[in-house]
Amino acid sequence: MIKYLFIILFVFILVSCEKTQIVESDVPNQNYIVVNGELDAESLFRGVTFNKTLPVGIPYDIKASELKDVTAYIVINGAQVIPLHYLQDGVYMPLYEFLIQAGNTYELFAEWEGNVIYSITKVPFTPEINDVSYNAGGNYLQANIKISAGEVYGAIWVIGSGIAKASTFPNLSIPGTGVTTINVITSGIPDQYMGSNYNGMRNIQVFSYDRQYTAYFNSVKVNVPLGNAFLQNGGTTGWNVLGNNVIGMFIGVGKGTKKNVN
Amino acid sequence: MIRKKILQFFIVPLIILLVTGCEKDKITAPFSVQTENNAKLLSYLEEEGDIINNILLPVIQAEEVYNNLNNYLVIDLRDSSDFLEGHIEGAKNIPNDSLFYYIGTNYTRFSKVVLVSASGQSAAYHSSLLRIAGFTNIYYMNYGMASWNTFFSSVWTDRLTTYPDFGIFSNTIYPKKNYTPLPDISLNSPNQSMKDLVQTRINAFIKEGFNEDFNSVSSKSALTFNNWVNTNPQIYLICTGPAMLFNSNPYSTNTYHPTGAVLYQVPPDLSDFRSISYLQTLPSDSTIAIYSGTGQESAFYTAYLRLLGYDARSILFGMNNIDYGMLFHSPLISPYAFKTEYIMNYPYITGKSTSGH
Repeated sequence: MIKYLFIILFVFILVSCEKTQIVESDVPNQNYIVVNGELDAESLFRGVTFNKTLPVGIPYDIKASELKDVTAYIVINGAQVIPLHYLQDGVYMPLYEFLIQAGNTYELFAEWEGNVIYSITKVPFTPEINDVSYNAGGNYLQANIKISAGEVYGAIWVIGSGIAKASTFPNLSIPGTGVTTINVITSGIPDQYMGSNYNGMRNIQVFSYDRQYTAYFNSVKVNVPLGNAFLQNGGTTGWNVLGNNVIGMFIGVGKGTKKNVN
Repeated sequence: MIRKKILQFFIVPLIILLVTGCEKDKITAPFSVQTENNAKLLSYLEEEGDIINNILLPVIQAEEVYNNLNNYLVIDLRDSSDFLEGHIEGAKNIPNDSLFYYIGTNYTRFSKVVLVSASGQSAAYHSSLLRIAGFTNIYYMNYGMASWNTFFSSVWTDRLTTYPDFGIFSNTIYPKKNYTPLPDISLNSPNQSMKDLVQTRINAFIKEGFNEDFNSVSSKSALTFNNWVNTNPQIYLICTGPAMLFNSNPYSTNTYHPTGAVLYQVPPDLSDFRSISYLQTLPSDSTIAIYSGTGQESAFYTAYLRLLGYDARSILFGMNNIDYGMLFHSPLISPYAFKTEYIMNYPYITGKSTSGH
């Protein structure tokens, strides 16, 4: 009796996935809508871009990639509607300039060819630094900052007023519960900027992000082998824009002012 | 016993495999967000130039109309009986039902199309809707037929009310309300383009006309006006400026406006009805009572707000009917006070004859 049951189950397993379509091309060709919007606290809104990925083999061309007929708008704090209008190169802007305000919630609603796109972010407050220091052991800069709920933090080193700066954060500082301050560190400063001629020019700049940024940051920095050419670094990227075959980030950020560490 | 173990170790995992094995890879979890009609309407109106927030009132004086009777298309919006009693030579009496279509088929043949009503308020209301619809050469004649000839002027002169007690006015600066969602609106026929949907909606508002059933309210007198505002908590009283109208006080240096009124500035000063500005501080669950200098300005903005779904009402004759004396005696805003010198006494036609009077 059990023997027959096994046979039936195995047969069922083998035939049950029959509907799976076999992609004839060697390269998967799923186009995605790509959304990108960064909302800088206390700065003018810089718009949202809507593009689509192009099939493999087609040279990138913004004119082929940009989406010109998206219906899009932002809703501030669940109430105020700000329509976005196509400008150029897939960029959608409001008709009038407006300031992004820390602490406000911004929702993105969009529709393209029947596909609804949605995202939400809370714009963090500009980081407030209590203290800065240099860590000789790790050759990095460190800042102790006040924290606000729902935010994570990263920091970069900056030499002078733009001679050089770190391209990314070594990690994100994620506050635990019950704390009011947190330390944020930069990556190591290259030796060439550690000479005395750069004394007084080594700065730390701290950034605050909506906590959703953590998933994105962690997913893009994990160095796993490529399994899918359309997913960054092989893993599933932690996008925060929702929709069918939609990828992208719509995220609030607070950019602190540079603080000299020397 | 052995069979039972076989069942536990093989059958259960197989069932789990059966249930989960054929799931498609999903890039995101499904969600149920929808875009809203009211936001799409606002977006469309901005796409078309955000007319109401960017143009000056399309008002034209009777003198200009008189001097251009051969160049301008004059459309008389009054009832046919009023039209037959007297009208501007060459004017077309077009009923609301066919106004949108008539404008659409004739407006390109004239440099300006001038809407004329009894007091100017209905014409201002309709000029707003038609401008939004894309007719860029639509104007309304200031004070309507009342400014054309004394024969028609009683519609204004009977409404110039002076209230002797200034108790209804205040120098308090009342704050705007908090932002609330746009009013819900229904845009039927999902297969129509947004342009068609908006034009259908505009046409429906035009057919509805400008009257106290829908979009205007009579202040009657300062006292009844004051009672009406203060005994009805659902009324949000606003003034569409200019700021000097809201603030002027001939009797003291304090600002001076009806109690509870909130200022919303419009071009050329500012434009508080812009999406990025204070539009959504208008409560969508209240009646928005709008006053202005003459009632024509408020009628113009009432049309826009009604199109967006607000229950907006223009207060007829504006400050002329609330406190004509205050308006008349304030040098800065005195031009808003209707005066007999505005009546031009131009000739008019009666019946269907072409003879002048």
